Amino acid sequence: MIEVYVAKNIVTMNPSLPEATAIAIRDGEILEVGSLESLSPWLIRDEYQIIERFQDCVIVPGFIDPHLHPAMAAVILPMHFITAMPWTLPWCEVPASLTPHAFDQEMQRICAAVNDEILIFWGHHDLWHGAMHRDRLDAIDADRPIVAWNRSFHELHMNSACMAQLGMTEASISGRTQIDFEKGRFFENGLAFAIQKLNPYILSDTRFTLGLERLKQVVHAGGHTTIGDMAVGLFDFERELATAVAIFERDDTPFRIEQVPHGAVITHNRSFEQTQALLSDLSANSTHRLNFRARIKLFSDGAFFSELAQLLSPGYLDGHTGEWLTAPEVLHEHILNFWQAGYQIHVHVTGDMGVEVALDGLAKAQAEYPRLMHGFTLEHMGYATPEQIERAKALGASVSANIYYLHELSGRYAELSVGYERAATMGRLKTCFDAGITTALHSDFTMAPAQPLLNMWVAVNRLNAQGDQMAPAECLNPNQALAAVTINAAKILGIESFTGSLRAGKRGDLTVLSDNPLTVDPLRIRDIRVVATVFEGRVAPIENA
Amino acid sequence: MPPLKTLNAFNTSLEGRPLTVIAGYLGAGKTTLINRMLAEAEQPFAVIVNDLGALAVDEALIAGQQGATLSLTNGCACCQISADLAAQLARLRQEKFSALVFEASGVAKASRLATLTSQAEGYALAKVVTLVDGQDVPRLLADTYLSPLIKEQIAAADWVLQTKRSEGLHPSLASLSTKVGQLPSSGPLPAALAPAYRLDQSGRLEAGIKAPLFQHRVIFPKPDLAPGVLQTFITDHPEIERVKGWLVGPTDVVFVQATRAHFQAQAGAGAQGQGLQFIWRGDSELDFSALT
Ligand SMILES: [Zn+2]
Ligand SMILES: [Zn+2]
Repeated sequence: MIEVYVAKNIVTMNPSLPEATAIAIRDGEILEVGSLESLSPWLIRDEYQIIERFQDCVIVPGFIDPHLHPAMAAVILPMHFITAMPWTLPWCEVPASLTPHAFDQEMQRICAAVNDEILIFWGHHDLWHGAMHRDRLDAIDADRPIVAWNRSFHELHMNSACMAQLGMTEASISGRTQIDFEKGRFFENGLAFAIQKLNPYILSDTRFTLGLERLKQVVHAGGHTTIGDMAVGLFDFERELATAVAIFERDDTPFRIEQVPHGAVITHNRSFEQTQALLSDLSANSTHRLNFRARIKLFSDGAFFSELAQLLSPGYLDGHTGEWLTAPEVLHEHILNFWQAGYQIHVHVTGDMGVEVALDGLAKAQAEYPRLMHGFTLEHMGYATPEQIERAKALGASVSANIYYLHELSGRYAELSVGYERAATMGRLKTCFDAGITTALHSDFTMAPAQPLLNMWVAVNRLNAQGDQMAPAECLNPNQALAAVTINAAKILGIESFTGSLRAGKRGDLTVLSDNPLTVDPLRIRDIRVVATVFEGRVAPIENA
Repeated sequence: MPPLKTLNAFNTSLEGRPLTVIAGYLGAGKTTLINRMLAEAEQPFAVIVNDLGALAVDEALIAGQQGATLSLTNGCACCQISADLAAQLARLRQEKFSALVFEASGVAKASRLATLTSQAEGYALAKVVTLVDGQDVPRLLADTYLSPLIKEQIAAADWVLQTKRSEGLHPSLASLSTKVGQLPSSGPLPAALAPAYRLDQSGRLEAGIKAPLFQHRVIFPKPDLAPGVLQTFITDHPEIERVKGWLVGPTDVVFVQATRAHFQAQAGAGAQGQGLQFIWRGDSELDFSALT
């Protein structure tokens, strides 16, 4: 049976036939993308069914987020969101809480509605919600343990009942920095102390499973048909493998997960031969939706949100320096090992010095053992110079960028972190496209919302949270931005042979939108609704769309 | 050189077991030092190794069951939710041992480690000892990518020890810190490094985490023993941590070097077989009859 979807417009991302109005799919495979007339040679030879439910919609290739972290998301998603920005979560609509009073009311409402062992609220922000305090949480409920986690994740407050439940006393806390017992406040290193106490609860099986189920909904609601787990083992390798199969390898999962192992975890206490044996074992045991391939994630410099990116001179405004996550020479050795074994190598790089070290490694590898179409990818790439981008091109590297940095941080970083020039040019994506580099966008969820249309909007408009446009010369056009969340993202994961664009022979992975991101007012790209996805020929409607 | 303070003297504001952080870039000799401390220790102490990100080398010798391995590889707060240092410290707190030594990864900033480890309940505030390879220090300080890190590791340390150089302190090192000393390459360790681990025997703790007990023996394998047989023997005996020596055939000699992670056998032209040294964990005997 052939299923033929008709739409107002089909954007194929296949440059030879960029637009169409009908697409025929049989057994999950695309037979042809064209019009009802052009499809007739297929239709006269087989039974078919015309599906009209999307005839007023726009179909694009199924969205791909090549870099996010399901295990980390699973920890956060079971928390109750109370935020200044409205969030549309598949299981609830989070209203904007813009005042201290609104925040308290929302806490009270949730308190009355659920009976969690420990109530955890996420999203508190001083600017809107006023200073948090133990007494304030005690006033919400003095008997039930409550945690209010800051929007940034770097700080939390607990009420007295929670501190009692976790066995915290004034004596056990005194002398520790970054903990305020009076206020019930734990931040930065003090946060590690609090988290370590909360771990048995937030990492419990039931909560973790709930978190993954919710992640599944988030991924679907964003319109994805493929995601990349860009560091399996970030949290707990064995547990991640087991839960992924249990929760995602099911008929009701409308997407696949491309799994890329965490290089430091997978090579730990193993010779390279043993690592390779394990990885080929994992690849061989891949299931339909969960796939390991010859891919590896390595790390260069520190986290962007923590200002630990390694910067070339002149560095940070306050003179602090970034951090290496891997010693440069060790990174180079890992690169060379995996390179010679034919792997597609993904390197987490946030600052331009991090980029430099990664490219040095790639250059050495190329000199020793030249490869073409190797898919070496710079992941995140917050700061990079134009010259580095040229060098990346010459060495055959690709870029998978977190462009949300620009939206969330460029305003603040211009003032407080790196100055205006560097802040404005973070995510230098037009330069990448002009150089001919395969360039994709990712969310690194939960670092940014898992919404490809939102990321496209940032890449096209380059507006920061304060509403200022940063380095407009680096704006992508809508077609480039769409490529960055479809065909280019497929190339980043090395799966472009079967998904990422709509053409005969690829799998029937589609995202159905309320409007065309290529023709809508660019400022409205993020307002386009995801109506449904089609995963390998099976429709998965999005509720409330 | 100023007198070196003993680590005990730092044990002030918090009650608890001493926690020593051994920092320093790759090749500074951290693992060697910890092994020496283990060899000298008369009291059990626990070791945590953060060698994630380093290549698998000799860490197998000290990691094992005694050490917990942990990851500090992701910078943002979300990652602290994972089994991180604080969690490891909390878990170890339940065990009985007299002190804790934390081997930092080569790229860890000393200041961050001190603050992070200081959050742990039941331990004294951490003291950071940074090791610096006295031969390599000019190169490291000239390296654009590494010099800020090396300087930070030196500046933020409670104590800096030069290794691998016998001709006195390297001038560039002496100019960076007043708290620099020389780690003698052999003989007893400076008393300041390990006083807490050298209590009298009556204080020896029985339960929980013990200092690894290693045994070693040199055997002379039977002629023509195939490297594969030896490798299987090692695999079948998980307590074996290290094997080094020669296998002698009728015409050639094979040099073997193995840890739990590596097995290497290469032709040792002209070499004389001098036996095969085994190092294994625990106090039980190993039966070598399959090899001799
Ligand atoms: Zn990353
Ligand atoms: Zn990431």
